[in-house]
Formats: sequence, C-alpha cells, structure tokens
Amino acid sequence: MSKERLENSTFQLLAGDLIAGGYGLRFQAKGRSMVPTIQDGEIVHIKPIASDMLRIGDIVLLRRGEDFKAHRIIRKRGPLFITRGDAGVGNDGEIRCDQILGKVIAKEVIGSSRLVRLDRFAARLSFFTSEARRRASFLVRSRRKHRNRPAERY
Amino acid sequence: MPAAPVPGIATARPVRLHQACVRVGGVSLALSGPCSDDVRLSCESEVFQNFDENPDIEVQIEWVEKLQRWRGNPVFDSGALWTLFRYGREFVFDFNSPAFGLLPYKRLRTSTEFRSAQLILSREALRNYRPIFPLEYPADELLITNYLASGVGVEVHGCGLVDPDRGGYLFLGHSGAGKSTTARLWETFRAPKILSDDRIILRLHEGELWMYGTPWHGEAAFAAAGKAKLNRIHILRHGTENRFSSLPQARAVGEVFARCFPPFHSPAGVERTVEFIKRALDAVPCYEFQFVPDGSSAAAVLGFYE
Repeated sequence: MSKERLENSTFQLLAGDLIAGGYGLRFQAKGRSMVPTIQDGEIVHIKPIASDMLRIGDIVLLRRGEDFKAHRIIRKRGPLFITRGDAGVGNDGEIRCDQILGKVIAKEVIGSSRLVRLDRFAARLSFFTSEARRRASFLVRSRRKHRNRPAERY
Repeated sequence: MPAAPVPGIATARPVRLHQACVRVGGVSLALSGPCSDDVRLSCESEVFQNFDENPDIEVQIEWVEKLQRWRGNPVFDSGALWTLFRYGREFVFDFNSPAFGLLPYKRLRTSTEFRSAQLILSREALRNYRPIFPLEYPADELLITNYLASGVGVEVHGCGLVDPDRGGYLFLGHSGAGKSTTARLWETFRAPKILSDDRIILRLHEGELWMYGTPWHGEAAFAAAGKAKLNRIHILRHGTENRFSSLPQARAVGEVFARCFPPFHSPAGVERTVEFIKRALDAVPCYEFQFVPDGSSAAAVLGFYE
C-alpha cells in the first residue's frame, strides 16, 4: 500500500470514528476546486450531519475512492447526491450518503485567526439562484439552437 | 533659483502605481494598481515572480463600488466561476461565486490578443474577504492560456518532473489518471524536481519541446518555477503491468488535445492549439504508459529506451 493510500485510509478511519461519535473535525483543504470560497491550504471545520438534513448548496466532506473532497451539493437524485467544486466544470458523479462524512460549516482564513462561516443561508440561496439562472440560460440557448437548425431531409 | 508655482493651477501629484510581475510558461504578466494590496500575489504565484520591463501581458487593477451583471448573451459559460462575453474588440470575463452573492465579484476585460487587460474588483462583494489576490485562479490561468493560444504554446493536464540524472519527463492524464500519484511515487523513489502535478505549459524553442511548471498544482501540491527539455510525452493510464505503447501521430494529437486547455470560445484559438500540438509531436514521440501505482513505474520509465 502506498504511503498516500495509507494516509488516506488512516484519515478515513479517524474521521469516520470522530463523526460517528458526534465530534467535529478540522482538516486542511488542498487544491483550487472550491476557490474563492475555500482557498488552497485553508483549514475547514466539519460537523456531523444526518443525510436527511443535507440541502442543495451545502458544502460537504465526501470520500470518493481513495480521495477526500470538500465540495458543494448541486443536486439530489433520490437518495443520491451530485456534488461539484465551485471552480470545477465537471461534477463528482453520484455520491451515496455513506460517502458523506460531514458538512463544512466554517473555514479559518489563511494567515489570520479569523473564522468564516460557510453554512449561511445567504450563500446557499445565492448558489441556488445562480444555478437556476444558469440552467434556464442553457435551456433557452438549446431551444434557440434547435429552432435555428435547418430541417433534415430524408 | 527654483521656479515659483503658477497660481490657479493645481500641481498634479503623480500617482504611484504598485506593480508585481510573474512569469509562467515563459509568459510574463505584470499587474499594477494604486495600492500595494492590489498587486498581492498568492503563495503559489510568489514563487513565479520575475520582473520584466516589457511584459507580454499588462493588467491594470481597478476598484468599483459594485459590479452589475454584464448585459448580453454569453459567448461561453464555463459552468464554474466565469462567463465570457464579447464587447466590440474586447473579451469580458465575469466571475461569480456563491460566496459573494449573485453579482460578479470580479470582471476581466481584455484585448482580443490578451496583451492588455483591466481587472475590476467589486468593493461590495469583497468587503469582508481578506486577503485579496486579484490574479487569483482562474483569472491568471485564463490570461496565460488564452495568450498561449496565439500559437506559441499550450497548457496541458499533466505532471512534469525533472529527474536529477535523466532530465524531464511529462505524464499527461485526465483527473484520476494518476498524475499526483506519479508525482508522489517519483518523489519517494527518485527525489526529482516536480514542476507540477496538474498543469504544465509546453513551448517550442528552435524545434525543441520544453515544459514549464505552473502555480496551478494538483492534490499533491507540487508547483515549481522551472523548465526542462522533453524527449517524449507519456499518456497515463491505469494498468496491471507497466507497459509502453507507441502512438501514431494522428492519435497522439487527439490524446494530447483531449488533455489540454484550449480556448473553446475561439475556433481560431482551438485551431492554432491543434497546430501547436502537431508541431510539438513532430519534435518528440508520444507513448501510452499503462502503469502500476508503485515504485516499479518510475523504474520502468527510466529503463525505457526508444
């Protein structure tokens, strides 16, 4: 087992135990997938949450294979969740409840002791509205393109 | 004897502009603004600081109280943070994030050649957001990749490393293909200089293909401001054994293109990117590398000769 996999397995065990025990945890985010909401290197705070309490727009810590990501829920499909990084183009695919370790509630800003809440209703509403607008815009453009397409000949 | 000031004419005080300059992929980008905070660079970008008297791209920072949504149909919607509009001879990128509400928090207006730009920041959106890095991803990457799309280079999804004994190696791959794993494995077994575990820039110099590190690292967080000559390109795939397969050029162009970041909003830019990739693959061969995620993969690459 590579060192990377060993660290991830250890983190998974530790995080799972803490969350199951009702404890929160902190971990350092790596990468750009959630900028500017979460910067590379910022410490994020996770709290346990029941899956039926999760909402579209929430940022969650999820496990996908050997990797852990803090991404935003963009859709729900029955018992499954679709997540994506704010700065990402593609989504993470369907995520089961047992892959979600907890909800991201806050972050520690780089270079300061300031704590910023990431679970405010305003941020979720803003995400919800911008996604709805984006999908509406996509639908309008698709229909326009379809109307402008010349009729096919057989 | 000094001249007396002329009454009625206010003495103009020169505005001192603060500047910062980075060089990524051989492209120099200069940022200027009225105060030092306007030209703050992120930790990753600071490594790429490099003053240039004649930068390839000049960016002027400005602040407005509030940015309204740009009116007009978008040319391209990234589906993530930015949306592209066209305004006369300018490109306009609006940046939106749930963290800052519904209105744009940043706007980038550039010339069509991406040689000069204005980066406009919203005071209202960014009021409680500190520190601010104006060139923060993806603005910096957009400027540089669009500049490269004039035919002078391409950014690829890849891990680039410089072995202390054998030189430069490039491994291209989609997300999950094993770029960060490869970087970590080589770090363990060979201690190379790792230019990036996610984004590499390719340039041609006198018929030779060179790779450059970028600040836009992957999960393994490798980013270095260096460059190295390349003798071949590897396309990563997971495998049960370490195996190399030579790719015919036509297929290789497609595989590399699928792992690069062309300006999809610009058909001409996409065409120039494909042409650049063809020229790059005229210079070096391309191999599909099915690899086992352990130290044997590094040994296999080092032991492989055409």
